[in-house]
Amino acid sequence: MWVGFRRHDLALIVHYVGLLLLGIGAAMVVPFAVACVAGEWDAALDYLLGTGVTSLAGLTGVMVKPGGAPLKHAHALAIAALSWLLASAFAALPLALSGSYLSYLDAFFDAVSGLTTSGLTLVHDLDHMSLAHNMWRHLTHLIGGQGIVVAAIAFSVALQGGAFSLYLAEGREERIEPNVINTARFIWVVTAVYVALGTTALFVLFLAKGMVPGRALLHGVFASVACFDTGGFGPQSQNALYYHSWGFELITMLLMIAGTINFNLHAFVWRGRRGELYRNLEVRVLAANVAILAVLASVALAGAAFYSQPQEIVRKGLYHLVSAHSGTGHQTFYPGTWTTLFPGAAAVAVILAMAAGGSASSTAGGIKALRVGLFAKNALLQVRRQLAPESAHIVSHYQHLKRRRITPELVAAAMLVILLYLLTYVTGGLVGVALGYGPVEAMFESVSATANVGLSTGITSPSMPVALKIFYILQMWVGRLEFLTVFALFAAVVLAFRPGRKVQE
Amino acid sequence: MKRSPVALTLLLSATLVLATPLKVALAATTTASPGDAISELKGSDGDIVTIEGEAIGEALGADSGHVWVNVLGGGAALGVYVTREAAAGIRVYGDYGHTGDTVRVTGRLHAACDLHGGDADLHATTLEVVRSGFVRPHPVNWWKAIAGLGTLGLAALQLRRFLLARRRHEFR
Repeated sequence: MWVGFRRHDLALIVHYVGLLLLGIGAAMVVPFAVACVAGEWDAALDYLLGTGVTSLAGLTGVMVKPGGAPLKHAHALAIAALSWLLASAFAALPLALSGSYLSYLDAFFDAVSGLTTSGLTLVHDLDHMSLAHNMWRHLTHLIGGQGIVVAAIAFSVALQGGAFSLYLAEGREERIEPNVINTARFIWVVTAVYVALGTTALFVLFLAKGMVPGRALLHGVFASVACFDTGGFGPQSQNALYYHSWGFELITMLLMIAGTINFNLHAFVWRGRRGELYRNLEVRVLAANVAILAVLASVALAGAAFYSQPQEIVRKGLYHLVSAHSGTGHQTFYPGTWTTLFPGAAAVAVILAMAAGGSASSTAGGIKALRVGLFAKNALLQVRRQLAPESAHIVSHYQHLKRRRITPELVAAAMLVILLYLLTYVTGGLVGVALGYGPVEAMFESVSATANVGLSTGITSPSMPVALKIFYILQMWVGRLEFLTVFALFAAVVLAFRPGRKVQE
Repeated sequence: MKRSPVALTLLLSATLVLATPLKVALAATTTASPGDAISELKGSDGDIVTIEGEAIGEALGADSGHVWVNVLGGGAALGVYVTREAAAGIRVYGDYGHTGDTVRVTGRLHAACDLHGGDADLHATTLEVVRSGFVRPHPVNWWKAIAGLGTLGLAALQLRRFLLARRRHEFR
């Protein structure tokens, strides 16, 4: 039975979406302040207007009375899906006013990319962008990386009884503290610590390289946020290649690894239970994936004789595999060189890394290491059952924060999401091919968008077809929310227009 | 049928003549943009090329005698490894408030530089500033201020309505 929303359900949804939009409007105060300090007055007005419009929209939604109805899981799914879309729409406003985007659609693309921590960009002339706009682009990584809903919960934006449902609807599973508000705050504390450490390390590095202190600090913040939140934006068009620094690559690689680790695992490590790091299924899968794909990429690069020194292969291969797996998307290659300079196997290794993704309950995207691990363990379990006597009862367990048993329900849930990811990867690739791009490039870009990575072969640019921009926006959105949240919203919309249905009070 | 040696020689010569321009697309005698150089990385790896573009960001320390100057043009920026003395001639670097000095750089292009971890770069032998940079104007659009203050004012009124309604327990 399909249950649609009634009028009071819609009121509840609009009310909560309004609350979350208020948070986005409030966050724009940060780039406004940066613009004022830097003397970027026209940019400051972009954020004045952005804050005003977003806050007005948010408050208008908040004024819709929820009518006392309790917030159920169905509401939470619709709120999460709609919030991400509308937050992007309003976050795009100051970007669209900046003059750095050729259209509002391009600005909306970047806002979606920022909030979903994808990192693909349609910005025009990034090297002359204001500090304020760069701050906002990276702030969207910070907000979206932890989750718009998690941010609201952490700062207790009047969500009250619906907090836990909203938390789950955003694709979060970790229950680090008994209370979801404390869990959300813990996530932000972990983020603050790593961003602070990364900023400090990079600030020192940049000062040593001759940057002025103000730029060194801001670039340190931008890179730390982009890497820990595995977003991938950068303040310069060359991305990580701008700095020509192995020190930069090392620091940011450590931040990417930290960002791709499950927040529950961070809690375990912080509480001194470091043994979980070695026993955890996700960590083992990630380590195995990176190792296997590193060998594949290294053999391919060595065979192509492109790099003359082994350390170059290790440095380039490891950095980009970690960038791909974590979903960061930082690169020290020029976009077009992925398929023109390197052998196909190297690009395939990166595509597989992007597709597999990082840990669940982290800032990473993709299928997730936990699902890959469950798939592999279930496959082994089935083989064992085939080889065992009929009367034998074979079970399998895995370690993920505690010892757990592999059940058919668990496997089915994992397989559903894996299939949805694979279907979206392939569909996006086919759309790219249909629009005239090469199959490897189209597949690379499709996986990068859906898995919220941001590595690019050069397809993503202001000149790409409008249809592809819209399709990648959809891919980034559904990939971030892992499909079911978005499907629930679509179902609710379809049911609202079902013929013969009367709205009941 | 015997093939004429003369015909074969002519054919071979014609092939070499036709193929040669592809190889010297970025020869030092022509000036390319950094974007062009990057798109020709594979074909021009190891060649002496000349590029012209805008110096952006800042000079970043490379080693005791050299810095990195990133040069933007043709839709992309290329890292140039150049002596500190040569880079000292650059007065303005491009950012939000400035268009940087236009520089013309001649040097060896590397698709994967062994000295710099496999990065694509250009090791400069000469660098000259051909055009000075300048301030980029960003005039204030006052309509944004009017619209921004207007919407903030309306938002403040909405907030007042919401707080009054909440005080009357209309939002449970």
